[in-house]
Amino acid sequence: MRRSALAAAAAALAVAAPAAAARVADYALTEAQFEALAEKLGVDGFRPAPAKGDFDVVVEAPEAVDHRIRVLGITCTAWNVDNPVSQMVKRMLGALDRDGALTAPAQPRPVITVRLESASSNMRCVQVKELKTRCLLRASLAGSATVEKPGSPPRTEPLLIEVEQQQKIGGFCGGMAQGTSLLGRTTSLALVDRLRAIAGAD
Amino acid sequence: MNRLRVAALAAALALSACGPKPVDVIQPVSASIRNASMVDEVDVRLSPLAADRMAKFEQNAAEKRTAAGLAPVDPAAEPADGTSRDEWSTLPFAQMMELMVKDVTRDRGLTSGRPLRVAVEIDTLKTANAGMVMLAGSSDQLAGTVQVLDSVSGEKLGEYYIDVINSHSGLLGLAMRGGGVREKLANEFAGHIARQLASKKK
Repeated sequence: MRRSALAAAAAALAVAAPAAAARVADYALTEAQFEALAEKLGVDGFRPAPAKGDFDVVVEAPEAVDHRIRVLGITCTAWNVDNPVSQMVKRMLGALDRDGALTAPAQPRPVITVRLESASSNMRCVQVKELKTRCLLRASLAGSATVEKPGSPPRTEPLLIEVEQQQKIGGFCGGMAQGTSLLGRTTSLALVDRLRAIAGAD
Repeated sequence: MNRLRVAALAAALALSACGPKPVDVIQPVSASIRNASMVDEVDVRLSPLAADRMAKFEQNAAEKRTAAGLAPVDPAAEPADGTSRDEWSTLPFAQMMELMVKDVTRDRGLTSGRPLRVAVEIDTLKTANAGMVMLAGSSDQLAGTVQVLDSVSGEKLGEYYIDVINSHSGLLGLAMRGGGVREKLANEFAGHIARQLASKKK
């Protein structure tokens, strides 16, 4: 009798506990691990990290865009995911940066200063079949970028990056944090594309 | 036995307290819009998550239309405002939903003021699996994002995620569920939109 009561209480706790729990998107994965993750989550078109640009990149206070992902709807709402996306932004901008240091050049050389002001992401998950879940993840990143080239006046452009990605999150929403990491990487790559376009537009 | 009952009751209470709300407010509409607007345009589109499931519902509606001796409709066409309610179950989902949102908001008294465009993006429309209802319970579900926009300027005035879930279990649950599930879900979904646009006084 007592065992049954304990089992019922344990079951209730097990289900209720995740409501307060948070997972964290992991941006320490290697490029090969990210590629494997994309395959696991059913995301096509994996892109490698960007090649070096011929300009320096400076990013101001990127931690301002770290946030918690918003899980919409009823499916998968028992979990929160914290998204320190600034880690991936710095990694991808570091790959783009001429010397990888993300600092202003001592010599007069082309430089882009990136100011990120806000970011948000949300996840909507639905059961496409009994016990089969698919999620649609959206992220946005907003701010501005200033291009300075020797001999030209500085030019500031707004930044608004929006990315949508469908993922196979898996049973019991177990892949939410991994999915958020992959989304953060895709968003950062879209930011790199935008910066290249801004740098080249003259 | 009493202890087991108490534990089961505690578990049920804990779970019901954790239950998510059907409406997740992403951006609330301002007080100046509440009870001072009318929905004159409704756009309904399907997110990539909904595509697989929707084909079956569209086919069912088309079959009902044929059985009723009605002429086929162009899914891309605008539904006529005066379309009889009896005919709604034979319309493609987007047309039925458009009529439903306009009708429900009008019933709620939203007939004058700022003209609004309601953009609905459906993530899932799912009906309960009869076998699962008998075994462990299953649910009907209609979920998606709703954006409220100014009809003239296109300015975004509000955004919600609405997730209507009606659960059923056992023979009684199946019997009480009845027919017209798609329309019942759409009616409830539209009711949530109307409640967000009207104050509780109306």
